[in-house]
Amino acid sequence: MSGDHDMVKLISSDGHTIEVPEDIVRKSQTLQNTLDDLAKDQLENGIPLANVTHAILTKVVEWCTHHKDDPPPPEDDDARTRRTDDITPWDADFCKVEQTVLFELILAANYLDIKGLLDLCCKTVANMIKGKSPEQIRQTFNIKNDFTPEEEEQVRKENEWCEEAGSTGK
Amino acid sequence: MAACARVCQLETVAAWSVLPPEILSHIVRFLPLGKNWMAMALVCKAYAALVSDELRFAARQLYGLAYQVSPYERASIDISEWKPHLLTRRHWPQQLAAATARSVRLGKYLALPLQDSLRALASEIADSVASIYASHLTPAFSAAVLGIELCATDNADRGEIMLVLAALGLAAELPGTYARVVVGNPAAVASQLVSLGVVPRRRSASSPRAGPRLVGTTIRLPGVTGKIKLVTGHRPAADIRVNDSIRQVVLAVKLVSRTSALRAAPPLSARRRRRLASLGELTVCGVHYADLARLALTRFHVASGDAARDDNSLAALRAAVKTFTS
Repeated sequence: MSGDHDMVKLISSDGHTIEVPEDIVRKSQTLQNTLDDLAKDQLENGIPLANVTHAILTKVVEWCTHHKDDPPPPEDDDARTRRTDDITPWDADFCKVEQTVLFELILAANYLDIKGLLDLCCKTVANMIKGKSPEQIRQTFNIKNDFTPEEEEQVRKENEWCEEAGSTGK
Repeated sequence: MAACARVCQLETVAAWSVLPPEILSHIVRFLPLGKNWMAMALVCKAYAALVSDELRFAARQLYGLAYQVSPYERASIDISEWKPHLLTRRHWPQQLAAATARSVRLGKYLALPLQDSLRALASEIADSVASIYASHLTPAFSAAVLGIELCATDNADRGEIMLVLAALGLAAELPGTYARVVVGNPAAVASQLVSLGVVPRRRSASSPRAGPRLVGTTIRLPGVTGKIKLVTGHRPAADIRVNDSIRQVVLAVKLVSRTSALRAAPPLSARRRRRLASLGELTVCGVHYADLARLALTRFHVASGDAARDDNSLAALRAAVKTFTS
């Protein structure tokens, strides 16, 4: 912690330190638990984040700062079909990044337990997937097809009911 | 520079394909159920496995199935071994033939919605029995005998086979159970079971010792003494309505007192059984209504080709067990 009690030092995996207001830091459930569990003097040297690089941490802080006044996100509802068309323009611009950055953001949001950011990134990826064929998804994400034709047919058969359920509106 | 870009691209390839499952699940949940899920499943093997898992939960939600694993269930039924094997009714029994091999396992043979329904039902039964065991207020019971009677339509079609498999699966999963399936053409069903490899005609060196055996139209289940008339051509009793769209599954839970305070009803003679049946005094399980005090009986309905669901029946079973033990 710095002299100003409202600031918290965060140390990225590549050794950079940034100071972030405590209320922003508390958007992360992981860091909130850390703040609550550790004594002040233990926080003097900063909180190391072994899984988050400086570039990604900066993005995360940017998102948390923009959303600092947002109410806590609701718990996961049971509805399987969740909206992906409710992304605000600012968030949409925020997610217009390289795939590698988006990927790292997802991992960081998951590690730091920032549900709002994780949802946003996952929605963005879901929107990239929607309506695409398996081959198009592979191309989008550079994923290798490791199915044999027989295995692919097997998966197609096994999951067929979900298409039926989807088409009947269940 | 170009080489660097190439390296970065390769890293990207690795990254997306090994995205942690919990995050990938999160992404999949944002996709509408249907073609998008199928597309994801067909991307690569890792995604296929994940989508399969997600579909299990989706199915439960779609069909409103509560699912709890009780300690009793874990210990006795070992539900953890029920690998989800998604079979669609459309491709049954081709996949079934490929899947049937070692033992009769409920999870391997049934379409997922039905599989989950039966699993939920088994869970309910196990919980009911477990609660009886656990309660200090009820007498000690040494055994829970589950009887399953499945009434199919007259056609010896694959639906009947599915019900046979359901009975076999439940009987195999729940110790001390018996099962009887009423079908229109038992010989045809038995023949199909053999041809599909579900039940070997004769025990061979390659067949499992603990597996069921088919003798005529009777399937012998392991661990149960005597013959079990699993497949029979007898029509169900008049109190069960069977039509083309509804198949009914009747479950009976018989509890035997450890202290012998409650003795099991003596078996009915064939003559008396015929007489009681003609009077309509036998349940479809062949139990005299007068003996129902010893028997908790319930029914649930399996809509043809759809999920089995009848929460009221599950509640009825629970209530019946409570009534019986009170």
